[in-house]
Amino acid sequence: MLKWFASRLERSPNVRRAVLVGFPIAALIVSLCSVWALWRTARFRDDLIARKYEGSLSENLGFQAVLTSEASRSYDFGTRDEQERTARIRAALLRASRRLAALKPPSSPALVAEMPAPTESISDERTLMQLLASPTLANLPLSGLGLALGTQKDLPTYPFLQTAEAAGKLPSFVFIPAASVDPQGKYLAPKMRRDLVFSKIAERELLDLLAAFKRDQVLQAYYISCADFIRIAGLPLEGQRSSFSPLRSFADRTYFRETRRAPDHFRQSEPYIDVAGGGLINTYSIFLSNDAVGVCGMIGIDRRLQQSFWNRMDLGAALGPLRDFDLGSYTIGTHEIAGHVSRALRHNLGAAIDQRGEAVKSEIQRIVIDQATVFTVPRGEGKIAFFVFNPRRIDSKYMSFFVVVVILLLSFLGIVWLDNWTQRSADVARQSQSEVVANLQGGFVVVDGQDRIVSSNARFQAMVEGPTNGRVVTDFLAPSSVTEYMQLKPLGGFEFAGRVRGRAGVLNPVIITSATLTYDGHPNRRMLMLIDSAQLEQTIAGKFLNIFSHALKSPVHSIILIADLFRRRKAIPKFDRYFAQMQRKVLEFSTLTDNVLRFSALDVKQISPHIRPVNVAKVLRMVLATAQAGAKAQELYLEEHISGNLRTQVDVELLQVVLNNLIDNALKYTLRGAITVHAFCRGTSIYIIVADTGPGVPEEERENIFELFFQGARSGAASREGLGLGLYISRRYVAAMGGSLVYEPVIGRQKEGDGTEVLAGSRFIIELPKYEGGHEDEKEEQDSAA
Amino acid sequence: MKRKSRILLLDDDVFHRGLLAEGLEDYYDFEVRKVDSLAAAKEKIGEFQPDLLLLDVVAGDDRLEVIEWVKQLRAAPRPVITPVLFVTAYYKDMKERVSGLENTAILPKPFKFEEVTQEIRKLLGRGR
Repeated sequence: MLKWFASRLERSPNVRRAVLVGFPIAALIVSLCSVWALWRTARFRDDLIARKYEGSLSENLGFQAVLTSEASRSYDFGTRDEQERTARIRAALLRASRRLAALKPPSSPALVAEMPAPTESISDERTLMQLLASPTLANLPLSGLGLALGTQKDLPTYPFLQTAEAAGKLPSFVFIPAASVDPQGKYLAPKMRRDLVFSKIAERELLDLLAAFKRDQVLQAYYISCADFIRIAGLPLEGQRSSFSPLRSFADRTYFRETRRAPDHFRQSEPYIDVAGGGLINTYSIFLSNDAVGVCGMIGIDRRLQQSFWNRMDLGAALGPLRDFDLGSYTIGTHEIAGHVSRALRHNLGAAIDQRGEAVKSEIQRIVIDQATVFTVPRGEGKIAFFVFNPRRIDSKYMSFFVVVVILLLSFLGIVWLDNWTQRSADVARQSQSEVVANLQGGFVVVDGQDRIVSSNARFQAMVEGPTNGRVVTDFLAPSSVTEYMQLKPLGGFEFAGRVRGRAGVLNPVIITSATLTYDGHPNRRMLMLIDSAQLEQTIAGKFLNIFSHALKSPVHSIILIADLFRRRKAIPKFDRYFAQMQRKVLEFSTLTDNVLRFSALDVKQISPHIRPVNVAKVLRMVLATAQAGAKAQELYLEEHISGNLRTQVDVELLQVVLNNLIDNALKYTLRGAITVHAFCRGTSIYIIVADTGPGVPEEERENIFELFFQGARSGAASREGLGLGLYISRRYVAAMGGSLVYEPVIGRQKEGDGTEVLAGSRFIIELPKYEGGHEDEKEEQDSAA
Repeated sequence: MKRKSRILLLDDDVFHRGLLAEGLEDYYDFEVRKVDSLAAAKEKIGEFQPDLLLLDVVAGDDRLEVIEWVKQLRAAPRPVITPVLFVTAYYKDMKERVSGLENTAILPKPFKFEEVTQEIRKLLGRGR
């Protein structure tokens, strides 16, 4: 063949010319198409990432809807309008909650719409074509269900209507989401094709589902979009969105699977923030089946839909104004009323579906014809037909269509991959945010544009009295701090020393750090971080306060910058690293705060350790496991050489503090190389050695490093980080446990030149007495590490 | 191609310095040279020829030295008029001290990238 082609090419100049010209042109077209496709994919990917990321953030940080706190809130300042509006909302909510409490099943009759009488069934192709051409179907409003048969010229070109000489009664189905039809009633062919792809993907799942059903008669299953289901169930709802998101469709299928497994095949989701559209959503799904068909439908009730439901439940008058107000902009810690609404909805909807379900089941009829299987459902004056075709019986002339399908399938797999990837990134972001908030030892508050608290952590709630969410943050500040806060606010980020109103009205000194941020999708949020400085003022002379506040604040500054980086799409590949850095900073912040508190305690009272026999190896491994993250973030090695039975008598908590301090120190001062921890037993002592490859301590400073507030004059490294507390506390703790802590320089030799001795690192050595009593297995071990 | 604006960044906190430089380079298209001390800044300024100095002013006496240095630059026989953006956690304290200096701005810490880049662009725009 090739040979023949080559000889033709040689003999005929025309063919040669055609190849010479045609081939580059074809190549050019193909490459242009590829570039275009890549560009489109990139755009789509960005869109996906943005959606997913924002969705997961709001899901994580948005907590819930804010109705109750809204009701109990009081303003201290604000315009007259605002006060009136608040009073109105509060009254409406109280009315609504009373009404909700009184709401009882069964459902209101309005929900159960009249079902049209069953229509005749179709038994052959001719009847099908008649049906397609019938004026009632042709005039069916498109909003009736995803198809308006007979009105669109391109419809008959779809393979499922023409193909297949048939036969093989392979179980199959077609999935027709309502979104394939636009509101103007035009067929959106490309969308339709895409939806077919989705149906292919969903096919296997549905077959599995049917197999699991153990009902051999069931040959078909339908996967129906929410909008269709609402219509089939005869629930006339206006104004629901008709957007179609691939991400949503994943979620849908998950719901369907779970619905099928659920008791009574009915399932209600918790309220969640919708990734694709935004807004609070409850999803209700039901799986209906008879011996021929299984139908799974889902209704997602979002804020727009709620309006009509509320109206029907006679709640509309009370809650309507709330909606028009701006329900969406409130976030909250409790959703008691939202819960009431959900339960009421389920009662009503559940009852409606139960009743409608029976009707729907009996009215769905199965007809087999050669080309396709058609189900009809009466609807108004016409019928709605569901087509099921056999995809393995496609004429070759439709091959190109299936090439498109295959390409789309591949892109779809790409989307699946992207989906996982973006999900992972979003998880990292989410994890880091909650971790930061949970681990911060300062009070953490997020306020909205009017300074109302939308979220606060446990530490803040412990600092102040009474409920916090929904109240104005300045309520919790001393008058002078309020003035300062209001003056500084226009700056964006700032910090100042102020006072917070604690329990019983006591004013406690705090350092307040504040910055604006986007939180829960709202750009105009502001965070406040309050670090308790009471201990500092009482125990430490004023001149040290500066050192303290700087050291405490600098990790916070870094955390704010990292959080800012997290918001960038381009940064997604770096999320893991940022997260590690953030963890490190949070850890550092905790150690600092710990040290300050411990230091305060040291001066106030004697250390009274709870000494008990312990295997140091366990404590050590625990501490090292936590420290690994920090080392990784700095690209340092953290090695451990723990050998032998290391039983000694210590206070575990104090020992942890000491080890944390030493390792933290090593991480702080070591820019490259490794941190090595040796632990071994020799003679009657246990030794723990923390060595690093940092700059070491110059000879003239070695005497002083264990002193209070000592800060080395080292350059380069993080010279200003830290308080000069860690080693001071560590030595006192070790002494309290009957041991000693000393410093030893690590001396190396210069590689080049004369081999003079140089400082090559630091070594901190803890010596603790070995515990002789107790364990019979105990035997002396030689160290293997020294 | 347009040359990237160069920023000489002085910050003594190794971590904060790294983050800030990374953010400015990766997401805002500046060229950043990092220095960890005033001495290093003095040394690098001639070689690097920055379009802007981004100086983190810390606690203690150092901050006075940093401001003093900027004053010297401005008052030199051939004055260096490179715009200067001070960032500081001691905003109230510092604002007075730098208010007399030309072509400078001060931004309180903590800040976000939008805020710092907005100030930088303002200063760069003014200088041209």
